[in-house]
Formats: sequence, C-alpha cells, structure tokens
Amino acid sequence: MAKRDYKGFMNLDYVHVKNVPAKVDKEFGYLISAQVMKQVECKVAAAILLHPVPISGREVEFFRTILGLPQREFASLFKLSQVAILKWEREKSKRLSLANEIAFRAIMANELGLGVRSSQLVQSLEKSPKRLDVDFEINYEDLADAA
Amino acid sequence: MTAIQETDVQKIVSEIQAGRFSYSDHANLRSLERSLPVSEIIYISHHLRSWAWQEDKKTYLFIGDRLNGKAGGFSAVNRDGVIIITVFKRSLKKWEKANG
Repeated sequence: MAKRDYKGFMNLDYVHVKNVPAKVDKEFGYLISAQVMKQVECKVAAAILLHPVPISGREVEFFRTILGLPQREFASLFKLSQVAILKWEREKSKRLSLANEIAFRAIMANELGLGVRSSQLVQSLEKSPKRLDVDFEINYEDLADAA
Repeated sequence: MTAIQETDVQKIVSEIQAGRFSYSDHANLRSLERSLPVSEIIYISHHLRSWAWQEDKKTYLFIGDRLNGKAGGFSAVNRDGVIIITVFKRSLKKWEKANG
C-alpha cells in the first residue's frame, strides 16, 4: 500500500492533503478507491469547518458537490432559494456575511455529522490560515467531539 | 453494440452507482483539477445520456448530466473491479456532433 499527497484539492488551492492510501498498479500507476476519496472529501470539509477558513463561493460549491446536491436541493437546507445559492457560488472569493457564514458552518457540520459547538463556529471566524493541511490519518470527527 | 459490451456497460454503471469503483492515478488527478467529486461521478452514472466503446483506448466512454445540469463524463473499464480512467466536463452538443 502506497500513500498519496495532494497540493490543492478541487478548487481549493490552499488545501494540502497527505497520507491518502493507494494501491500500486502496474497499468494505472496508483489505484484509489472511491470510498477512500469520499473519506478524503469529508475530511477536507471537516477541516474547513474546524479551522478559521473564510467561507466564500468556492467553499459553498465544494460542500454542495461533495454532498451530491443540485443547487435547488442544497438551497432547501438553508430555507433559501436556488438563486441565493447561485449568487453565493458566483462570487468565488467573496466571503459570506457573518450571519450566513455561521449558519452555513452549523448546517454543514450537521450534514457531515460533526458535533461542532456554537462557540467553535464563532471561533472559526477568527484569523484565516493561508494553508490548510489535512492528514488522512487524523479523525476530524474525534477532533470536533473533543474540542 | 455487442451482447458482451452491453453486459459490461450494465456492470460498470451499476458498480459506479453503488460507489464501488477505483480511480486510476490519472483520473484521480483530473477529478481534483476539474472539481468532480465522487458524488458527482455517481450522479452522472444515474443521469447518463450516452455511452460508447472506444476501440483505440479499449475503454467505455460515458457522458451524462452533472449536478448543475451541464454535461460531464468519464471513461472506465472493468478489470477485476471497475476502474475509472479519466473524468471530464464537456458540452453535450459538441460531444454529440463529434460522435454523430
């Protein structure tokens, strides 16, 4: 079993992922199972929620697509219209308003089954990191529960 | 379409719909570059518009709808398990024009 690292993850350039397990294959180089990639996606999402990463359109689109939801269904989680989500996503680098960001973090934490407390949601709005390291071997659900 | 191809396609699609597949290294990197997470590949497999056997590459090419209604797809083979070879976002009209 080999391990893969990624600098940048989907449209999130600041995310660095390491220690992703992969099988070595003669024909295809590495083989990475969909279950493992799904776990990586969830770990990246959890790390974003647990760290002071500003939530802008790129993050909204990332969370929506890893949840496998079209904009209309994603909007219903927030009791918003599809147009509201379209506007959020269109502004790739514009941070959501404070109220929207707190609501976004709380609802996404709930969707991912992360036990994040409200104090953590506000704390995470402080200093934003330039780089977010995500280690596949760390269980972010435990980190959220322990905090 | 041969009977073998049809059986192969059914197997590949059902395995992808169930999330039982692997990415080749190339597909893995392309899915990250093109922002196509696992759920979107599964979504495409549930909303397929067309598929084709690529004789030169010996792979099946699938194209369907993405979450945003635009087209996307992947190529895959069945070798002791389904392996996705590459993923892409593409205009369905262009693809249909190129493939008759």
